[in-house]
Amino acid sequence: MNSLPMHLLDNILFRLDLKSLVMMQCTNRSIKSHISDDPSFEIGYSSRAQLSFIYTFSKGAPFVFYQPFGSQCESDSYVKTYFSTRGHSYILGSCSGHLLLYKSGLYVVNPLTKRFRLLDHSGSMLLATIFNGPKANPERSMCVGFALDQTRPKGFKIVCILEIHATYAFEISDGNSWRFSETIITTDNNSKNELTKRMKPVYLDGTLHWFRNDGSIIAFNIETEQARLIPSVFHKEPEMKLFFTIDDKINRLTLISGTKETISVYTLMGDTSKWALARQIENVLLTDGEFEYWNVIAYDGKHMVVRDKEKDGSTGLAHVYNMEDNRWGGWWAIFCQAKYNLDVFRFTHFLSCLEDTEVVVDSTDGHLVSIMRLIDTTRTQVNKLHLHMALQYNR
Amino acid sequence: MENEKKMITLKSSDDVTFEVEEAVVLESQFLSHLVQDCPAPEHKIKEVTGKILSKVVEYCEKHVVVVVDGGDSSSSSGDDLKKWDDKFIKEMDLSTVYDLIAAANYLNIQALLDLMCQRVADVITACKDHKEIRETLGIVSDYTAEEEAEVLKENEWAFD
Repeated sequence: MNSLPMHLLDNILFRLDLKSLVMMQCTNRSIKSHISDDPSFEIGYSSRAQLSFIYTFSKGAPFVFYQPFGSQCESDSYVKTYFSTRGHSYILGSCSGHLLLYKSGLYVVNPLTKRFRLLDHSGSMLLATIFNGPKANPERSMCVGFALDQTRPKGFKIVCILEIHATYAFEISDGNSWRFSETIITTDNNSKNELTKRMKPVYLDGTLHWFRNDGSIIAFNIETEQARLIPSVFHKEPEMKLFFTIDDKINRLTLISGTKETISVYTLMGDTSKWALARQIENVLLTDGEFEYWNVIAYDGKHMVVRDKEKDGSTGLAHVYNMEDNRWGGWWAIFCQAKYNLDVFRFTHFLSCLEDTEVVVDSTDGHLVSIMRLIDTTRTQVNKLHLHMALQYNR
Repeated sequence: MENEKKMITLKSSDDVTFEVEEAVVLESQFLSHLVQDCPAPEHKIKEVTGKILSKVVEYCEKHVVVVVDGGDSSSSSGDDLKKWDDKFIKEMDLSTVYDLIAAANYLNIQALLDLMCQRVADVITACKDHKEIRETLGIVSDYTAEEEAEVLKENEWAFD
């Protein structure tokens, strides 16, 4: 075993479940450092993981939903729901097996290892405008980015973008304190090029990317804390729905634009900063029924997920398009009214351990434990009552 | 009617020779290129011993026959092949498996490589803890006692 080269070892390790992978870590130091300290290992391992999503209402709601094995299932029997009468829950980011979530406090949690950290965000000016105070606007949660900081082992950064008349500043936290970066960038002041509301930042190559209405991108490098404008252009027609994401297979920023008939996938060409058309597929909405609502909610290069709700339908549906087989396949039910936007995050379990996290104990906030348990793959009970309540939810 | 089958001789690092049909050689990407580029009757494979090459040949011969015979690709022939694969790996000790992984990688036989890697993964999965994995796979620990205690504590959740 010790004599196998690492790339052959990976072929074995990628086939293990997470528990066996942890045991392998405990056998030998070089195996551990390969699994834990090499980000490419996680990327390779996670790319084989089954698709699963965690989502909440963008406006905040008492619900959090977890949809495991999204591409396989064709029923509503798997969606798991968390419900609380005490305060709303928001998911702000997902990276390396961790979620950044807000639930009467800002937390980083790893549902697999049952580790968490309560972050002090009293020093953040921008988070206060999203969650606290009379003018709080949770729909601005797309300003928050969450990513690994590869300059420090187990380190992470939270970056909030501040937009004032086409000038951008960045508030950064390493988990301990909050500060504004020295970088400020100014672009042409034009009402058409504001940050797109509710479009979450996309993390690629150590950089967070925020999408603007004109198709351009504000990019912020986590390590150097330098920002730049990527002057890509996309002309959005009024009836188009846009979704900004990344293609994990080719590691490129991706823009999906859809009409009721066709969905087009564009990738950003690094050398020219142009959106190039890569694929076009027929939208799934080709039925005779009338649609109350539809949009693209997730994409990773292998799968695209489109949410819709027919006028007469009771629950909305999420349809999964398999980009490799070129066909619409699985679907699952979305228990929420069409008028609510969803913040959907792809979540992949991983055994990484971010700095200063602690293990859940009996005295840990029960709500946090419940949300973590939601994503526990070993428990599969589904609460139909919660699903029903979510469907009826009206604020 | 039947075309004469072209035979190719493979010679291992320790000079054991195997005479196989060309179709068998084509299972290996590496060998197919070699045979095409250099049409000699005999090919020496310096990186693989006779013991391991005999296993590789056995695997490739089985897989060629089944693919050729199973023209209708019925599920029964697929099942038979799977049974054969299972028996093939069960009879093998782990050091042979490692050597086959290296050989399959070198000769570029993806299906054999996958089969062998899955075998090791299954062995690991069957172990109840890290100590058993070490013993079974012959992994040498380079942790100090303190480091090991710390690693175990950090990963306590996986040992329920």
